Amino acid sequence: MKLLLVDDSRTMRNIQKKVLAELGAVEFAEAGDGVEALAVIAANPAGFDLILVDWNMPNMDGITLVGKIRETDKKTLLIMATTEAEKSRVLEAIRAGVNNYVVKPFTPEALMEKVKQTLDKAKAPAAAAA
Amino acid sequence: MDVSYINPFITATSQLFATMIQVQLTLGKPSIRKPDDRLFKLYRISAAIDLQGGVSGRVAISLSPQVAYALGGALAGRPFEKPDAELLDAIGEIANMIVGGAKTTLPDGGSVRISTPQVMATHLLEYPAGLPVIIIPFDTPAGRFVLETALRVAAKPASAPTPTPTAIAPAAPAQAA
Repeated sequence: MKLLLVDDSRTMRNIQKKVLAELGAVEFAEAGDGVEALAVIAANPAGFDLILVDWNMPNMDGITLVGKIRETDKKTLLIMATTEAEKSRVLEAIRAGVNNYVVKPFTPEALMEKVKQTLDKAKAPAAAAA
Repeated sequence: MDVSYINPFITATSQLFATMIQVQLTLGKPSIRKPDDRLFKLYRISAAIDLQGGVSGRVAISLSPQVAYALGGALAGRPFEKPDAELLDAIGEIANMIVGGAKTTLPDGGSVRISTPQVMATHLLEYPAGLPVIIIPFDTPAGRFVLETALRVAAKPASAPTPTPTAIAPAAPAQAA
């Protein structure tokens, strides 16, 4: 599984890596802002199974990044991981195209639960069709 | 001091310590900074976040190196012995999560946008001119740190008055893991 972690805090990316390594065979890529994330995505034509996106970042924020990804890619799973917890922000992120939303600060269990929930939901239609 | 603009920061700090830092936390008594207070005599590292919108201004945490090592280490899951780039990043993220969390329950918080954290030496920390600075101290086993708020509330159109909370929210004690 290949995950892209997008957050301007290296501490936060390291926390996410440590938690999500429990998923098993996971390869991580990282980016410190939306501009860097788009470059990483462009450099990985095979794509990512899931991208975790922070909202407030320099150069390009997370909501803009989500919009740019969704212009050409409706498939890659996107989770917004952010301190922005207002209902209006959650709705804005959903409208922009995220598959799930996790509010910081989070426990390791909460983050893992959201990621697993997102991955399982993506598998469900495929399983039903089989 | 209008506690509507203090309690969200206390609650957000408690929430952060309960989830991701897991270090014992005790709230001290908030006060207004006096003109001759010299924060840099007690603390060395600060992380500031600027707010814009219905509530604007600056919020900052300030810590001694020992407290920074303890809290940064608890968040990052590794020990720190010097204020390197990773420690400063961790302290910035602590400030980010406190202010971001507080924004959700600040009056008119939905209109507020927050900056990315600016980490700096405490003697360089400044606040917008003319705003009272509220000091909220917290004690941990490693020592004290302070959260300071210097906020301005945008004037609202006249409407029916709403009751203002008068009690300062207690910080829920977080136990070490």
